[in-house]
Amino acid sequence: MQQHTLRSKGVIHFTNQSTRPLNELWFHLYLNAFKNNRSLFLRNPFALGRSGQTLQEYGYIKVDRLQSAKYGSENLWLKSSPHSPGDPDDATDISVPLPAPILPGESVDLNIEFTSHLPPVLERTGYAGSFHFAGQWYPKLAKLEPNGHFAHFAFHPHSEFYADFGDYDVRISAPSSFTIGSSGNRMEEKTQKGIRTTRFVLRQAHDFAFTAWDGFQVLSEKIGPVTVRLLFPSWHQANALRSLAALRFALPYANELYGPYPYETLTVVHPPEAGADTGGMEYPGMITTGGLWFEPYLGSHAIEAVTVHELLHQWFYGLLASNESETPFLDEGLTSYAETGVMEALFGAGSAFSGVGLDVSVAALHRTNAAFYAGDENIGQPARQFTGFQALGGLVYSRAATILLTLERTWGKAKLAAALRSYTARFRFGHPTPADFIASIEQGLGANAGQFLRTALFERGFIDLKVESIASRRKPIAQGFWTEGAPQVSSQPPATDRESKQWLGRAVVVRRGNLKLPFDVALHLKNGKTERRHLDGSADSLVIDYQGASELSSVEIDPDLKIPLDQDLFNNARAVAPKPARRALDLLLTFAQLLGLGVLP
Amino acid sequence: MTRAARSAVAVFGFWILSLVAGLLLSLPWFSGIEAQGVGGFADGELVLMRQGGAYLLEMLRLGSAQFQSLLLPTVALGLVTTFIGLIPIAGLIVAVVSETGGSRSMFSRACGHWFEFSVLRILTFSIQGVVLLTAWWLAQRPAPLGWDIRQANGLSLAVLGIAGCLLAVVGCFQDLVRVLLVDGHGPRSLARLIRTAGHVARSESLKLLAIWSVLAGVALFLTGLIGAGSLAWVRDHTFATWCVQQLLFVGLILLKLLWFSSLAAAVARERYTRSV
Repeated sequence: MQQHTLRSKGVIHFTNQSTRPLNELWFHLYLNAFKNNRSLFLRNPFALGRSGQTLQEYGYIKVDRLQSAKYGSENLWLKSSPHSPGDPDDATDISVPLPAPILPGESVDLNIEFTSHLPPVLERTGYAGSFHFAGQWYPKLAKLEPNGHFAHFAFHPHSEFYADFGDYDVRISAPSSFTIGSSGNRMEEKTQKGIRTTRFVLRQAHDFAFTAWDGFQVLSEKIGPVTVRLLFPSWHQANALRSLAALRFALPYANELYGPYPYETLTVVHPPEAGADTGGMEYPGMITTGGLWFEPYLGSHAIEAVTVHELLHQWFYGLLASNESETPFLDEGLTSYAETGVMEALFGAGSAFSGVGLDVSVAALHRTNAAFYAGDENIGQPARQFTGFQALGGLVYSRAATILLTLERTWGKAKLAAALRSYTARFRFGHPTPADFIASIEQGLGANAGQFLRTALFERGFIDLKVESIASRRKPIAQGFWTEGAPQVSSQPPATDRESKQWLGRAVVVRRGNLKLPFDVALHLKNGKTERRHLDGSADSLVIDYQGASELSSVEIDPDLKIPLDQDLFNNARAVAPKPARRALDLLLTFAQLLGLGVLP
Repeated sequence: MTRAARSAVAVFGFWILSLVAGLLLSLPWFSGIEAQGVGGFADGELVLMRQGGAYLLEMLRLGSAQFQSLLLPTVALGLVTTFIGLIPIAGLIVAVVSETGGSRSMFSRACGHWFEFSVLRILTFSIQGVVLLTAWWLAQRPAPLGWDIRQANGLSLAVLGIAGCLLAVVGCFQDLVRVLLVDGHGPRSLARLIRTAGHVARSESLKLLAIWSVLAGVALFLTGLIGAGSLAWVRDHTFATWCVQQLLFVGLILLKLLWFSSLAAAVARERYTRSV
């Protein structure tokens, strides 16, 4: 523990489930991202990952031996490629040539020995004092696609992971004063000479992580059939209890929506401050949260939001194991969308923050963040192609979630929920692609919804609805000549038009961007009543005419905010005579006066 | 003119200035909000309070450049109003320490003290700035090894709390010196001024501390009421609610007047004791 080094050995039971013989194996040595400052992960000081931090000490993973009875006593690793393809400074994507091919359907046992040296905590792995978090700590076989190609890639700072499902049977030894938390079920423990060895078993999962610290408090509770085990520093008890309360609601809620949680145990880790960068991450059967110890007292629901978000990854990542490197929106976007639903069900309109008379929802935060990056880059592109992690966050997390919220509010919540249920059922323990996802939505919501998704995700979809102009006037009294049967000419208009008490109104509405969505327009009248018009949204611009007994006062597009994707919400409304913002002035004046009086003494 | 009448005029003048300063500071921000087009909505600026906060966040997003450009001018204007605001402060003190005189002489006496009050304010700001920066620097230092985060944050909070007390003490001392400067019997040299202020502080500190604590407590309560009330009343805003808020402001100014009266009384008591 003092050396922050893991010495490991084990057996990989591998079956070639593809249709082609395999002449090589590909391993991801993710920990080598922290081997030196020239790795793909660390080399660009302007493109650091999520934390934006640099390393002072380095970490690495070294495979000492890879051997199989099929190939005799030969250490296969000796012939492995020394670096990632075409990148001599990076060693996160390594191929191992095989002396003889592994045939389709054939199984081999690979004995492996390796050493993992953890760096100080950075990007979800490492140590901080005696706190250790081992994520991506072992040589991980790249995902073998059905066509016999390995989906392998060097570890990019924007990227996450992709792997096959498998069963993990892991024994972890650590000083007995340490509490171990991990993916999987704790099976048995034995302590010898101050070293405790714990066995964990995790079936049908595509990753395995663990943490060890001598400062953890432990809290366990059964939620339905699942044992939730929380590990947290003693001073984060309030946060742990809030996480637990959120899970009591969210776990059954998600089970209902997306199918049952697949494991017996869920380990929830709240890291200490020094290891905060390991927080906010998902592993099968294990999630990490985060937040300040005093956050529960400030009206923010950030602790619950991160807990719910990571829990929902158990479906959108854990069970539906899409390629996080190639299409990150499939896990992060769907999870962020699902998070808004759970948080709203849990806390209502103030799902992100509630206090001082204000409610801020998670959906509103996503909408705002999404609008900053609208149309900049394709949401559906691979993680490595994003210009920075901020853009990836804005598009893959927030904009994808906002796209789905728009879909939900426009096509109906129940319909989208049914489509997602069908998607999660069909690809449970599978590796869905964007095409699979869009096809599922198309099946549930129709071809227009599918087209909307394709444009929004892959064609930098954009929409901005705007009231271009508004006018209102009394209907003119009829004047001129009227012919009532030739050759008579009357200068009198028809009786009904002689004294008009009617009002006419006209608003011009325009739609910018390549997304077409139906929307409502509210016509507000001076007598306090409102008329609604439903437009199919296919036209680029259109004129809305009004005639009635009351004067048209203002027009608002999408008054229920069914299209949160709309780029500018303030050009959605226009009034014949804009209202003065007296309340805003009063509020500002009050605070300016308070400031003046506060500074003056 | 009686002392009560002079005091009323001084309080009224102070309120008018706070209103003018408040308008000067808030109008550009108000224009920034109006420029977003909130007036186009049927519910006007109440759109910002719609559930979920999407419109409020949208205003911050769309107006962020404009609001950022307003920050510096607002700080500069705030500083200017702070220094102009020294005149009504001097007016409050003149009102409570003068035996005679009308509102015009009170105003001219208050203006006459503007320069020395300004110098004093710069000096006080400098000391308070040093205290704040030192406290901030100390609070940012890493906690001793082995401390949990609550202890570390507690230490930081304690440092900031001590700094807050120091700021209050410096502010109170400034008020005392102001009273001495306005008081006609006050010393004429800086050294004697500080010495006298020290004497008053020593002999009257307990009484002054008790009075200050009560007044500060009430002031905090009123400030909370104004702040929280403003937010709570946004939806049901009327002229009457605005008037109530302004009355609360007047209450705050009256508290300030009471504080200056207490200081003036302490100075008089100390002078009497020394003369005896």
